[in-house]
Amino acid sequence: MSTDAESCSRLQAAALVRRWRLRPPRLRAVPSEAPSEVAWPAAAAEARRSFAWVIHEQRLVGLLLVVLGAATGFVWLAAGSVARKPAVVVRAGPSLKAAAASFYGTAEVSYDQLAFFLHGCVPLLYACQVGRSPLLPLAEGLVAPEICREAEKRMAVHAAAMAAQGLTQALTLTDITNVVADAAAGRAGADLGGYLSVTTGEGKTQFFRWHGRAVVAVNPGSRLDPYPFYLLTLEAKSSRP
Amino acid sequence: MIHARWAGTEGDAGFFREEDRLQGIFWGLTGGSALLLVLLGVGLWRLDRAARIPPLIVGVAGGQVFSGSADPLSTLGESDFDRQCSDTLEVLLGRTERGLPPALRDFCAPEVIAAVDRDYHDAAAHYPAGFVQTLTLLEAKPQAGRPGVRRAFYRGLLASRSVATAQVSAVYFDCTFALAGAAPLNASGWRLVKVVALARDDFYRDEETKARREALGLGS
Repeated sequence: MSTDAESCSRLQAAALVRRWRLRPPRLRAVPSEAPSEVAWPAAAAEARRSFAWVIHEQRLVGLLLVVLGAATGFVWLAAGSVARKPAVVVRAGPSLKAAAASFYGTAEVSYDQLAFFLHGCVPLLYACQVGRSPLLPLAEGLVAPEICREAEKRMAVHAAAMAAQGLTQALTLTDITNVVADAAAGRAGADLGGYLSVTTGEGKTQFFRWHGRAVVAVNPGSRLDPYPFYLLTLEAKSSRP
Repeated sequence: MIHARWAGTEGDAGFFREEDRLQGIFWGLTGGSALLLVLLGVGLWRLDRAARIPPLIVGVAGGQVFSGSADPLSTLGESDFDRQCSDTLEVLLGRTERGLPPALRDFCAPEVIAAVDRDYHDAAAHYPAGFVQTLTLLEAKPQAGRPGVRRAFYRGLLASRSVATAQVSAVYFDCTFALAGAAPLNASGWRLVKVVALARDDFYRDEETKARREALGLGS
């Protein structure tokens, strides 16, 4: 125990001696002409200044890299979003031919065509010769099936009597009036007037005043109905003149 | 053995030297910069490629819907406007008692319309019941032009009908089209600026010359 304390004291003494030996030299009195501040050598000052700025430069470059990284991320996101483009619809105006067709096209239903169609179509429904209706099949496709069936039924009811008396019946249209057309809906209507002539086998002819009201639809030409109209409804009544 | 308290401390020289740390940061910044530059370059390349892909274009023209691959504007050729030019001539010379459609003003120079209108000035008085004239072009022969100007010969049938008369004539025209400003109905800007009636011999002059040279053995 005493040995440890002694060695400790010796070490302490040795350290004191060593510190005393290594003591800094005592400063001499500073002459009054000595500079209060010593300037760095130029090269050393330049190296020190450059070295000191490196830290700031690296911080600045790091900040710029953060901005560059953000810009890169934005570019990648933009590339992904730009690749998904929605479909674009372009609506073209009418061509010159379409504009010309629209200009020359008739917006209303032609009276001439309507009158020509009714003159050709309606008499077929009333033409009867000795109990037969040879022209009625021509009306199929031009008129609604109900009108055709009604005409057949009307002929069938009196067919036997008409055949026995040798009756011949024909309708002649004389008036097509009050034409009303709806070009947008493709419909037209007109009041019809005419005479139903019935001729007996003995040569006697009787005339009956005939009135009707027809509604037609605009028809695209086809093999079934090559005419511009289709007879939708026909209301008719006849009376003695 | 020396007690730690009295032992001289040996400091790590590198601890005080910033050079190693700054050097490490330098290499980190260099590597990061290179990586980001590569990523930026690839991203810009992808962005450029994506931007060049045209969108799907769905067009509606005349009530018909169409779609297809979009081609650059440079692929437009002279032949793409042949139909417009022939339609312009057909509409110009096809008319009824109602006159010319106003849309034609976008496709023809005013003097051309005025010249044609002059010929039909009294048509309404001559044909009170109306008349119809149609031009059907049968053949077109493009002629040498220059940038912004097209010239072509046309052959067609001009049919005219009225209550009193009807006739069909073979007609030949020398037409000049010029590129003017786009109009609402005429996006391409080609306008008919000159129409000259041709004789049949003028229309077939090239063919006749070629046939004559071949007959004489002069080659084409």
